[in-house]
Amino acid sequence: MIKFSKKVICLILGACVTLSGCGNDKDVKSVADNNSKTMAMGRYVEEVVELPYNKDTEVALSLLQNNDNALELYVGTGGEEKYYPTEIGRYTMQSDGTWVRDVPAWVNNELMIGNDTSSQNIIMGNDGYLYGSSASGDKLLPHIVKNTEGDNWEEIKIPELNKIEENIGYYPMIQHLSIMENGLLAISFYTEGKIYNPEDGSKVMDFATSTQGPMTVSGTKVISNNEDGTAVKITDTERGQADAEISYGDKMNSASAFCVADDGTIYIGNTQGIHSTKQDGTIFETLVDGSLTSLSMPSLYLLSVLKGEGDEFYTFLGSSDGASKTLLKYTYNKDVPSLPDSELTIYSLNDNDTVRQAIGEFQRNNPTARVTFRIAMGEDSGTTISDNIKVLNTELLAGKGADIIILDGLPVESYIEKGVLEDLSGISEELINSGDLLKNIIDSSRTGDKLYFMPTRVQLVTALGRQDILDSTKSLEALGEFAEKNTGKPLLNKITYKDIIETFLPLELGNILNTKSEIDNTAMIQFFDSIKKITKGVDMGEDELIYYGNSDFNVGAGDALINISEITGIADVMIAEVVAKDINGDIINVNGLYKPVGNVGINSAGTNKELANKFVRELISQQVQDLDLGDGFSVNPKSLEVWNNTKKDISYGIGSPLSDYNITAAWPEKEVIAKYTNMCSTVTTPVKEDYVISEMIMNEAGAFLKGEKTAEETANTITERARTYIAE
Amino acid sequence: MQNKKVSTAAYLFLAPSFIGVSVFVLIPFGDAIRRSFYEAMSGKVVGIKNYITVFNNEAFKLAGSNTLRFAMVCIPLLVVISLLLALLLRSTKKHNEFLKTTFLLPMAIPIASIVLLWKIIFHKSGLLNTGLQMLGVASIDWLNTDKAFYVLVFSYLWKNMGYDMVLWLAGLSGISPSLYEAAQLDGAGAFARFRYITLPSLMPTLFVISVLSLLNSFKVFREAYLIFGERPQEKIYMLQHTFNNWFVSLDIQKLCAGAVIMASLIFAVILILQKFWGSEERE
Repeated sequence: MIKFSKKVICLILGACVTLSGCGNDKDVKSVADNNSKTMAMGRYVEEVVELPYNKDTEVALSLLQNNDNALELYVGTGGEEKYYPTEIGRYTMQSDGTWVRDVPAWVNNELMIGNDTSSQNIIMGNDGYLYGSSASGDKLLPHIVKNTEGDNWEEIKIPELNKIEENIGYYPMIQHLSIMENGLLAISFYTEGKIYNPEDGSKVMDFATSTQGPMTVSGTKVISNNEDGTAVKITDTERGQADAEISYGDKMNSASAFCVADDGTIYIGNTQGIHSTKQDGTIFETLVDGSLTSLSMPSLYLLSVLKGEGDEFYTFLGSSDGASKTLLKYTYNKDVPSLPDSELTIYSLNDNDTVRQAIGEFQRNNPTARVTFRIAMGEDSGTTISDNIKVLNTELLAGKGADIIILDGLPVESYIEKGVLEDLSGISEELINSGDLLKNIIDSSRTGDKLYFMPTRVQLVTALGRQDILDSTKSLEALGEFAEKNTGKPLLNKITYKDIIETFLPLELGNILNTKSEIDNTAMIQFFDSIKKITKGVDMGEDELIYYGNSDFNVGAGDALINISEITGIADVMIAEVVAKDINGDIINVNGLYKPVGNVGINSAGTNKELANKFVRELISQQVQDLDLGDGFSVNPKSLEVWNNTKKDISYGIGSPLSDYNITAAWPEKEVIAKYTNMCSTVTTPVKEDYVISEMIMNEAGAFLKGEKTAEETANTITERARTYIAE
Repeated sequence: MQNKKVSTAAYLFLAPSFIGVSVFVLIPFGDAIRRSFYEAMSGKVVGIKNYITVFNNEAFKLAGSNTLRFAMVCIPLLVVISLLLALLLRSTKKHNEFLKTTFLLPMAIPIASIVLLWKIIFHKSGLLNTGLQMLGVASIDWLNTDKAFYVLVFSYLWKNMGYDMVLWLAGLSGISPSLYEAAQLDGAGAFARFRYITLPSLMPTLFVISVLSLLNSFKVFREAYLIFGERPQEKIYMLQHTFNNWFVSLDIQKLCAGAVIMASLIFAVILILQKFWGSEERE
């Protein structure tokens, strides 16, 4: 009886386990069926609102909503330098979309404008008054003013802000200023926030904030990120403590900007879009998908988000180079599909700013297409390159895979051989003929008479040093001979074994590996012999903290005679040019070498080839290539001309506690920039990359550089180890 | 009628397992056989060209010879050592269960932990070299020279000894004690009893152990990959390394041809072993 009962129980359990999924499947299927029949409609659509200010003579300072909910843009003008305006003007948006300019007297006071006054910001307080903040002098003394009535204004004195911070040597820098309904000032500094009483300038309390402290206020509450940026923190100033925390979870980034609606709903803006939550809520709703808008573009960063009339939003963004501001408007359109009906997928091992920029432009120009950018090795990824390549290969073998593949780090030659990639000759010819693509870059990227990938940026391999040393960079052998005869300082600063190989191997790998990817043992022995000579007298080791490497700065400081590096943009040029001038030297391109970056290919099995073609054109277009994103020079000749004529009011300073040498580098002159943009048109040889052989060489080089092995022994060991790899 | 009912019930019970094996093993292997006659991506039939390419490939030949060498060294060693252990354990009266568990523990330790352990022991500055230096012996680079082969052999034996020992114990327990009694009565010594009773009775067990050891010898790739990477020292470059690297470079046609060759060879070996040792069971 008992045995029978057990059998019955087992049968029932088995039936339950087997049959329990059936109903769910039906439900899933029916939902899927319904979706395919009726597409979800309605989403926020982005449009650019042309800002009225003159970008040549005015600089945009702040955007706010006044008491009538109209947008006001404050701009600075006059002054010897752009960011030290002598007049603050205001553009007010009218109901018909036009802007009207005036000059509010209250804000043009001695605390807000002047030859040494900058960082002006104008804010609409929740108490209905306008406020302004600025910083003046060498130590950036902050000022806060309030527009009391009409053109009248008064300074709000906060004694704590008048004390220089010992650890940084400057006055406290106001990142964000908000005014509560009761007139209390909420100020966020770099990593902390404080509430002040404007009556006597006393501090009321502290509140938590993340780095650079975006925040806003609602009633008596301060809304900000928590310290580590993992949640929204709501601090009640009446109770003097944090009220609530709303976690962002794993998938959401912290807020770059906040705003609060009249009903208390919190709106958050970041690169992922605009999201809303309730003050007593626990989850976020994404209203505007950042991936379908410009919010995800690396060239823009979010300054503020504003709630307009009804369902409208505005975002005010700054360009990453600080040169301009952008105003975007988001309006809900119920007639547009919630998700664009066609999808373009892009695969890349690593993140790429140029691709992200192109995605933003592409989405704007093609609102019916959705771009999904898959980055295989994100920041927190614990996977190896080959793990990710295997995943990609599995997709390719199944006839799927992304429409566009960014080929950096992938086995390109194998993909070309297997016919994975589409021939881009047609697109490239068109672009070259229209003057939108450098012919030399394309010619050196061909495989036979076909083109399977196109670099979207180039990094120039350059050498910085005195002329006599630069003359020796014709070959590594010549450089080695120079080093041998050199009786002065060693060629390089303290450096690790790994860095030495990483610096010089790209110059010779093309000789070590022939066109059939076979190893030339003689060339490898020659390489090691040259390295031995080059590193004569150089302090080398393994600890990266001690042997911190060679740089342009070291050459300027006299610690090294030469620096070979890849220049990725004008910022790199600025420092290098100052050093070259200081040492009466020069910077040259080494043997026409360049590193192609962002190599884009189209998957021949992709389903959206037309869209893929359009995207490739977008990548090469001036809209994307005009921007210096720091990942390489443009491959578009027209954009290189724009780069030549670009002027920016920025400078960099580098110093070292170990040296008296300091560099202050300003934006280069047109002729200097042209020297590098011209290099882009003359480079002929892409740096050969083979991470397997490079890794083998790096693993064996340590023993050689320590003197444990000769050049022949090292080369022979590597050739032996590489034999199997090449045989595969 | 009763037999038919039993057969039907048996097939029904076997069906889920069979379906699982088909979906995850047989069908993919069928696809691999199919792909071995095609180009990698284009879908063009190339006949036996891939097989010729694989047979002529130096890397495959090196990997094949290393894999064969590894199997020829490890399997006999493992079989003999585990049998000796089983016999010893059987003759021990105390702490049998404890000892059995101890020998089985290596199988339960995760691979990542084992790899860490071997790196600590066999690294150039590891525990083993430290011990050798204390004895006045020069350090040996266990991981980057041909000594890596012995590290792998040791790892394989250490991991699988307990498992095979348990299988031997099961085989030994199947031999009737009355045979030993009868032999003793007839004046047979310990060695004679072992040679004429134990060994012949263990032939079917030997077949099972040999087959399982052969299959387990391929699993040592996990340790090899985690300790030595994708491109290890030449002496421990195995077939799985070749296949892994072919997959990364999308040489799927060579990979499938190589896999078919390897599977066919293993199948042939198993059939041969079954003919010589497995047939004893049927008798």
